[in-house]
Amino acid sequence: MANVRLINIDKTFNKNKVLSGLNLEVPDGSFMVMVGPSGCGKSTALRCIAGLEEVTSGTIMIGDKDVTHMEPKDRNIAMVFQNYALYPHMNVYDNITYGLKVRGIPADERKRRALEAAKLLGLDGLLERMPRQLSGGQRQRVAMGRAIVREPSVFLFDEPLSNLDANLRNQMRIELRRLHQRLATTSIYVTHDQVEAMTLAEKILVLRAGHIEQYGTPDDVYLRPASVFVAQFMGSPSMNIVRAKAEGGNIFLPDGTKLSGVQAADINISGRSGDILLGLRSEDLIFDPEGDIHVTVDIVEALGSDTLAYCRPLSANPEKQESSSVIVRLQGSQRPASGDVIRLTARKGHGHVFDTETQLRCL
Amino acid sequence: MVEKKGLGRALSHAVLLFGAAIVLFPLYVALVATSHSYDVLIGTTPLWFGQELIKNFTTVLTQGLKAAGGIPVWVMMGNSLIMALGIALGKIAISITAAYAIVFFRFRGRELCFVLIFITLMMPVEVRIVPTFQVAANLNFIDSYAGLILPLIASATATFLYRQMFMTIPQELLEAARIDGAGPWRFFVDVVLPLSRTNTAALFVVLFIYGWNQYLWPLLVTNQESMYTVVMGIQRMVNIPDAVPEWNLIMAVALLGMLPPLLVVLGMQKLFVRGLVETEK
Ligand SMILES: Nc1ncnc2c1ncn2[C@@H]1O[C@H](COP(=O)(O)OP(=O)(O)OP(=O)(O)O)[C@@H](O)[C@H]1O
Ligand SMILES: [Mg+2]
Repeated sequence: MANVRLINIDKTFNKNKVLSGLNLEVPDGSFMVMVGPSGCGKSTALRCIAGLEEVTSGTIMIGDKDVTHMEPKDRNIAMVFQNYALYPHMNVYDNITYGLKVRGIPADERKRRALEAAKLLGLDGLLERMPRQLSGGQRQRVAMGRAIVREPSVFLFDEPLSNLDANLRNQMRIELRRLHQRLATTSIYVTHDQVEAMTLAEKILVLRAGHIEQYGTPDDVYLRPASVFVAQFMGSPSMNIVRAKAEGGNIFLPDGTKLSGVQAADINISGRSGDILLGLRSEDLIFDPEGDIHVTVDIVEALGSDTLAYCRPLSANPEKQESSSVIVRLQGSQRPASGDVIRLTARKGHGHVFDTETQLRCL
Repeated sequence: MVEKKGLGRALSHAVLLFGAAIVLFPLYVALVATSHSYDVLIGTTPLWFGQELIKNFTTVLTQGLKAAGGIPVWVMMGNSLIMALGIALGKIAISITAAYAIVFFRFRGRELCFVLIFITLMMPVEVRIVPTFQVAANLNFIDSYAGLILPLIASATATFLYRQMFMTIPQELLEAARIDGAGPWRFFVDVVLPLSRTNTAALFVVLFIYGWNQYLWPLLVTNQESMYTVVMGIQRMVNIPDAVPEWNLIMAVALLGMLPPLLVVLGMQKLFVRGLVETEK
């Protein structure tokens, strides 16, 4: 059990700066999920914590130990890889206990821990099998078992579920959660998957081009995104960002439409006037025959439980029309046709306002 | 595999039988020759067996050829076996460790090392045989097992094969082992060696035959009959001044000399074939 602290971490690969000035603390026993676009340095950050990459500068603390220059084996961490990295010539039991064997843990203790982990992960009948005789989900479990038996103070996961099909991924996600509830070991988890991030995380770290864009609880990140980047990255479909104007406590679209739903006071920008970026999630635009926003439906995607309508904002003056389109989430039973003009209102109190220059959230 | 029927099948069998006959015919002639006394073989090549098969084999195994020094063939076969095993195992040990270093360690001049090893692939033994002999003579290697084995023990081919095989071992496996606490030596013994088992078996067969069939080098580096190997010993038996070669005995030695490589191939066949076709990753 230990917390993890990164202090001013920089990482450079032949002059190519991949991580710059990372500062963060993962509290003891918490589950932290790292997200960010491909190539932003998530794996690199994880590998630096594991000790598989040497940091260029900065300090890594696990518990109260400075591990910056320690070998991976001395950091008391365990890592689960995307492609599982099971030893192909060892059976499940040997795979799980290899790390213990290397560390000189006696055979009966190894056996006890392996059986316990196998029971926890539902691997009971599979201990004699070779990795090639296992399904993807089972291999994933073995990789997890290998991490668990070591009883490390930190678990590191690099996209551990991304090679599984959607059903299995959901199932494993729940199991991971259950596991974390039982073991309460500090975990750092890298993923591409929004749902994994939102459901597993106690803290989410949004990484962008090697620096921290936002670090907070899932609610923070979803409900109070710190920047346009975070707002659009988290949530699916991504948040609608439209240019707007704040004036005298009201918010106007570029064509002059006054939004009755979103009041400046509701979203804490009463003092502000001038150009802003207004963020509205697809579910915060409501179908309303009386609504003040007119849009033309372009493409309709029926997802069953709801319908996504990709719309172009309609303006009284088409020349001034913004090119940005908006995505509206309607109920599954509502199926507008392409070309229809529909009317919407913004849900009360649910806008996000960002600065046009810095793209940061206006508080 | 394509299943053939009727005429096509008969035809392919005929072709295979014909090929097998061509390959086996010299062996048959050798066996027949072994079964005659030596005066029968002067000027003729009999095609059917005589009476002396057992006697001739016993003679070469226990007494050898009187005219060629009288060394029993089992001594030569022992020498050949030591040389072939030494060369095969030595080549494997050296090339597997060299390839391990080249693939898994980051050090200055890594690529250069590989290129240097690779370049020697293009140089046949014969090119460097005179300087090698000079070195071996200076080191007192003449008429010793070290002299038979050591100069042939480096192998660019095997190093290259191991390198290619190691490069297919996923990086994550190394990293998982590092996290599990395995150092370079543990990783080599626990992961790399078992994963290259089938490759090693295949390589062993090839290298054993290579070692067993060495001809030119043992010819140079041995003077005493007791250090002769079978393959070169045969040559010594044929070229005896002022005597008619005893073909019945020579053929017996040739047949005996073929036996160990054959046994190695048969014995390792299962692993060997797997090593050539299967990868366990
Ligand atoms: N060993 C390396 N040598 C040089 N550059 C590297 C190395 N490893 C990673 N990089 C670079 O560092 C950057 C970040 O890579 P990283 O693997 O951390 O991204 P990631 O966020 O994990 O992406 P993904 O989501 O696609 O896995 C990339 O631009 C990559 O090209
Ligand atoms: Mg990655």
